[in-house]
Amino acid sequence: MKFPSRDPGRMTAKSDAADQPTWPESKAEIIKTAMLSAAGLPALVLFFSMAGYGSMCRQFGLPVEVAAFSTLAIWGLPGQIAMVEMMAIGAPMVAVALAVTVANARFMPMTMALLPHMQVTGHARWWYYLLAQFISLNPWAAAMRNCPTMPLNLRLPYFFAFAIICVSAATLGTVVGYEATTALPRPIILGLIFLNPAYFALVFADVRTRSGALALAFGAPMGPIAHMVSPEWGLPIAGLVAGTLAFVVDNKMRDRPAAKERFHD
Amino acid sequence: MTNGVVPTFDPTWLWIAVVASAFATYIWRAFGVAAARHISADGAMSRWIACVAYAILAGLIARMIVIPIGVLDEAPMFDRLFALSLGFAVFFFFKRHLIFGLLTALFVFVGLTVYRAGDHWTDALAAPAPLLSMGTDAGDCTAPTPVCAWTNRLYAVSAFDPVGTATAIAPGVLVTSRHVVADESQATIFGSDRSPHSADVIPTDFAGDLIRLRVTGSFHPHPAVKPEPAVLGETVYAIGIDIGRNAVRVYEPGTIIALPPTGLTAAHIHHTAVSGPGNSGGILVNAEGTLIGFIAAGGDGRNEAVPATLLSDLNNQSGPEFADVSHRIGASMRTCVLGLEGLRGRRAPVDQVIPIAEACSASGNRQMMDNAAQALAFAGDRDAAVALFDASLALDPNAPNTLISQTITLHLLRRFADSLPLINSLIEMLPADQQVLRLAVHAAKFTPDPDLGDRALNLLGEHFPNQEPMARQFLESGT
Repeated sequence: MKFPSRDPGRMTAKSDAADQPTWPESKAEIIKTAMLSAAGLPALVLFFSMAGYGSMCRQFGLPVEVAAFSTLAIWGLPGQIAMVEMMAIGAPMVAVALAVTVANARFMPMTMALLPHMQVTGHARWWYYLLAQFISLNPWAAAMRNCPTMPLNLRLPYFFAFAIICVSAATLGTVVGYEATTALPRPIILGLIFLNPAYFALVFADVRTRSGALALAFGAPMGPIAHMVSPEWGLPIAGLVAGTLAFVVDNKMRDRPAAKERFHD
Repeated sequence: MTNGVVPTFDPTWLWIAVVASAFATYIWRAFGVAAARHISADGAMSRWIACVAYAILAGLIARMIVIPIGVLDEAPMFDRLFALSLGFAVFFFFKRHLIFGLLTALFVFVGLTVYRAGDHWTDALAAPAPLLSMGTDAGDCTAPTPVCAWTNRLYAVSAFDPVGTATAIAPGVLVTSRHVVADESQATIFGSDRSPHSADVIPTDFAGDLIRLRVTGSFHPHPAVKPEPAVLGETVYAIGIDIGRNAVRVYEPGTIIALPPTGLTAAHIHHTAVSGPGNSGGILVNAEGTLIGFIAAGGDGRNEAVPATLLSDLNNQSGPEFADVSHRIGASMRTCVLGLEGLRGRRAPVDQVIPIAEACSASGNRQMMDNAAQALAFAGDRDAAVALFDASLALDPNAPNTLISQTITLHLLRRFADSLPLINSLIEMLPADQQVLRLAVHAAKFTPDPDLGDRALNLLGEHFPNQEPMARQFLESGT
C-alpha cells in the first residue's frame, strides 16, 4: 500500500504531486497558503461540527456567550462535550474540571509530537506556549503533515494562520448552531454532531506514515473497549498501550530494508 | 434563557467552570511544550509520542462513534457504523477523496435518521418556543427565594391520574409519581401555555413511587438537580400543581418527622408540610432550596415524599429492558385503584375485596396497600387487614398513617398490647397530633401501661388543654 502525497496544505487526496511539495518563500505567501487551505474543508467541517456543539449547549441551558467562549478557551471538542455533559448532570466544579482534564489529556502527546517540528531559533519561548493553546485536531493534523517539509522560518506563521482560521470558523459555528437549534429538525442536529467523528475517521484513513497508520489501526478498536472498562482513564491508557505497540511493530518492520523504500517515514 | 425565565444555571458559576475547564486543558498543552524541549524531531522518542497521540485520537474517534456520549446515542449503532462504512467505501473508491467520502457518510446518516423519525422528522421546526413550566410566573410565592425558584421546574401531567405534577430533573427528563402513570406508556405534559406535549414513560422496576418521563422536541432546558438527604426536624416546603388554581403552588411549610431507614428503598420521608390533590410528583425542598424529596402520598396533615437521593437508583433501574416488569407493576396499580374506587361507599363481601387487595399488594405501592387494608377491615376481614398493614410497615416502618390505621384495626380486634410499640413510635414522631394522643389514651386504658397514660395526658394538656379533662376522666373511669 502506498500513501499518496498531496498539494501543499491540501487536506484532500486528489493530487499525486511530487513527494517533496514546494512551498512559497515569503511569510506573507505562506500565511496566504495556510489560510486558504484552512478555509476549505477544515473550516467547513469545524463550522458545522461546532454548530452541533452550539446546539447541544442550548439544549442543556447554557447562555450563548458561555458556549462561544468555551470553544475559544478550551479549544478541544471532546473536552467541551465532557464539560457540558458534566454541567448538565449537576456535577460539582472539581468533577467538571477533572472530566475535561481527562478528556483532553491527548493534548500532551499531541503537543510533544508537533513541537519538535516547530523548534526554530529566533522565537521567544512564550511563542510555543501560545502555539500550544491553538493545537487541536485540524491544525495539528495539517502541521504534522506539512511542517516537516517546510522551510524552518515559515512553520510558525503557517501554523498560526491555519489555526486562526479554524478557531474563527469554530466560534462562529458554535454561535450559529446555538441560534439555529430551534429552527433545525432533529436529524440535522444529529447529523452535525455525527460530522465531527466521521470527518476525522476519514482524515486519519489518509495518514501517510506507517507508524501513524499502525497507531491508528491499533488505537481504534482499543478506544471503545477501554472506555467500557474505565470511562475516565480508559482512553489515555489505551492510547499509551496501542501507540507503544505500533511503535514497536514499526521498529521491527524498519529493520527490513524492503519496507524502508516503500514508506517515507 | 429568553422569555424572562428564571436562569437555570448561575451565570457566574458557569463562567468559572469554563475557565477552570480551559485551564485544565491548557495544563496538558504546557506540559507538552515543556517536555518537547528534550525531544528531537527525527528521534525514536518523537516517533513513539506521535504513535501514542495517533492511537489516542483513533481511540477517541472510535469511541465517539461506537459509544457516543450525549445526543448521538439517539441514533442506533447500526446507523452510525453503516453510514461511516459507506463513507469509507466511497472514500477509497474515489482514490481517497475526502469530500465524497464525508458527504456520503453524512447523507446516509441523516437519511437513516429521517427515515426512522418517520412523519415526525420536522418536529423541531413546528415548535419554535420551548415548553415553559406552569410555575414560570408564580409571582405570589411568599416562601424564601431559593424555594420559590423551584416553581419553574414544575409541570402539570396527565396520564392514568387526570392531574399530577411532573418535575424537570435534567435536560429533557422529568419525574412524576408512579401511581400517576400506572401502566400508561405515554403521559401528557402541560406548560405555561396549557398546550399538551406528549412525554414517553420510561419503564422501571424501581420500588419507590417515582418514574421518569422523557420529553422530546422543544422543552425548556433544565439542568440536573442536586438532591440532598433529609434532616430530621428541618423545615420543608411542598411545591406542586394546585388543582383548584390550575397553577404551581408553594404551600405552607412543615417539618420532617421521620426519615427512611437505610436499606429500605420503598421507605419514604415523612413530613407535615401541607400539600393537596394533584401534588403527586411535586417536590419537597428545605428552606435553603435544596431538593429533598418528591411528593408521593399523604393525608390528615401527615405526608410522605420519596427521598430525592434515590434518583440515581431510579435512573439505573430505568430503561426499555424493564418494560415487562414495569408493565406488571403498572397494571397492578390500575387494577388496585379502579377496584377500590368501585368499592367506595359500600360494604362489599370479603371475597370481592381480596383480589383487589392482591393487586394492590402486587403493586408494591404502600398507599395502595394501606387503602386495600382499610377496605378489607371495612369488609370485615380485620385479620387480613392487619396482615396487609404489616406488609406495608415492613416496607416503611415509620409511616405514620399506616401506623395509625394499623393501631385502629388492632384496637377493633381488642389487641391493645400489640398496638403499644406502634403508639410509642407515633408519639415519638407526632407528640402534638390529636389522633395519636387519643389512640394512646385508648390503648392506655386497656393495657397495664401507666406510663403511657401519663405521657398521653401530659401531651394532651400541653397541646390540647380543653381535651385533657375528658381524657383523664375516661382513663380513670372503670372498665
